[in-house]
Amino acid sequence: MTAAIETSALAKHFGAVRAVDGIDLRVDHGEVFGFLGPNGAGKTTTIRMLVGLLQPTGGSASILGADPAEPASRARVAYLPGDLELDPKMTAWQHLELFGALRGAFDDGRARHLCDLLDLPAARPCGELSKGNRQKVGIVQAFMGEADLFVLDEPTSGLDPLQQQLFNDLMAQAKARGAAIFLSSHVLPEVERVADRIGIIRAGALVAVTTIDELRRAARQRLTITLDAPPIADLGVVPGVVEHAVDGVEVHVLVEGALQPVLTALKKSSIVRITSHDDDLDDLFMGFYR
Amino acid sequence: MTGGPLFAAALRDRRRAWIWWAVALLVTAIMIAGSYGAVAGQASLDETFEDIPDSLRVLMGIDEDLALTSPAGYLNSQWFANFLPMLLSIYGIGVASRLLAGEEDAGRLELLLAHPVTRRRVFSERCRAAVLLLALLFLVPAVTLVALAPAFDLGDVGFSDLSAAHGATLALALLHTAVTYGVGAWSGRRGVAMAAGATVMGGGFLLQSLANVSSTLRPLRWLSPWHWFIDARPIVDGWAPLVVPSIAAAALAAAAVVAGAWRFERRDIGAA
Repeated sequence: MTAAIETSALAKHFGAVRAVDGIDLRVDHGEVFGFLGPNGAGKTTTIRMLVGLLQPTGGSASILGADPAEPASRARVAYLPGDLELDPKMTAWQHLELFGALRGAFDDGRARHLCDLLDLPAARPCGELSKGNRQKVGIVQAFMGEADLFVLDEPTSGLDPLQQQLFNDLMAQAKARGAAIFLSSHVLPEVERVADRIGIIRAGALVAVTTIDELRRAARQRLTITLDAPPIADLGVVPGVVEHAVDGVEVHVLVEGALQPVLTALKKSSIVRITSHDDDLDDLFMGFYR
Repeated sequence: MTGGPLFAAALRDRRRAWIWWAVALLVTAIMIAGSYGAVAGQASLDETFEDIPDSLRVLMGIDEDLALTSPAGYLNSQWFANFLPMLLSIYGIGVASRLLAGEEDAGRLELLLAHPVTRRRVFSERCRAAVLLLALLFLVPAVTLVALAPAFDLGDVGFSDLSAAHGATLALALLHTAVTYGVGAWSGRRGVAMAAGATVMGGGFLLQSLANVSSTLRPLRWLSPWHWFIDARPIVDGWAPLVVPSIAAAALAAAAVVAGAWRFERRDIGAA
């Protein structure tokens, strides 16, 4: 079976700028692939090549076994751009009708159902919609057809947690019927619950393709440990502690690998609370590069 | 010819602005026709204008061989040599720069073009919408003036000459629209598209005007589409002198549109 997405040494150079510099990637049907990287790493450029907006300057890409530049190959592909721009004068529903017409089939029942599900005021002009509601227009247009491949660039920006959950459900349904989902983000929490595998892009190159668990193992944790009294132990000598700072009864640590040595070192103190700060991706990258 | 969804959306999007333009041109056409009575038969007016410098006369659209007070001279100087083609061109340039380059500039082509549509189809549906909007707008003052001419003593100008003069203005406006659209498709920038259309329109107008009084510029006047159409004097000589200019303008417009389409089909969209 052909892959949903396959790239080989895919590259895009803008003059001297190597926005994407040789990416080999394979995403299979029924798989959710998280595409992570800091802003400016080349995520959107890669995605734009996958949907035929940009011509690669090197290598090749195929979607559902075909060249993205061929319109027919995009018939079963749904796309949600990172910067979704809608016509402020057109209503949400008019946009959906237009996108449906461009696909050659508009399932208005399905579109209506999704609008209701996400609580999108479809009859209002897009210029009057909040950022979150405009983003919902993008989500509805992506999920209103039965696409075999979803290419979603930072899809949940502007959504509240409840809507994010609805969005995750839509992805799960699509995945269950065998669709592939390519999902980009610059924050890990957005993809960690849904992605089967993740790829990390940095400075135009794919630095890792891994599972969430493997990534976590390699990553560091940033914790604040609150004690009942200032600590006695010197955390600087504890294995795995990369950084530490003591602020009264609070200990701030950056730990690589297992947490047990830190807790052992603090066993003479009474631990009141441990606060884990979200692993932001930059920390993950740092962990990755050591 | 079915329009297609992008064609229909473009018409819907431009509808309101079109109505305002149509009202403005309708009123202007009525005023132009209605004002003829004030200059008709006033030979002193012709004498007055004989005394002003040639360059000024030409800029005002006054033809050496056409009495300002004659129906043909009046319409030429007040309407066909400047006002009407200028207004229609400005509208055409605005619409042509908006419908494709403007959409791309605003980031709205990205999702559209990721759909299973060819770029040629997007190009062509938007192009047809621009042409139709301009042609329909053109009809408003044209029909008004033709209908009102007899009632305001402008009936001396035959229907054929009057329609030829109108045809020349539409041809000019279509040319400026095509250049704007083609450059917009090529560049993806609305500002660049407008600048190109405005340069051809304004530069051509100035060159035609000044070449009639400046012997230095005179050899260059064939560069101006305004010279092709306006100096052909369709209001006097009818359709016959418009054949060659029309072929030239069609070739130029086609070149701009084909080049724009060629590039639009190949280049990156919304590249960072």
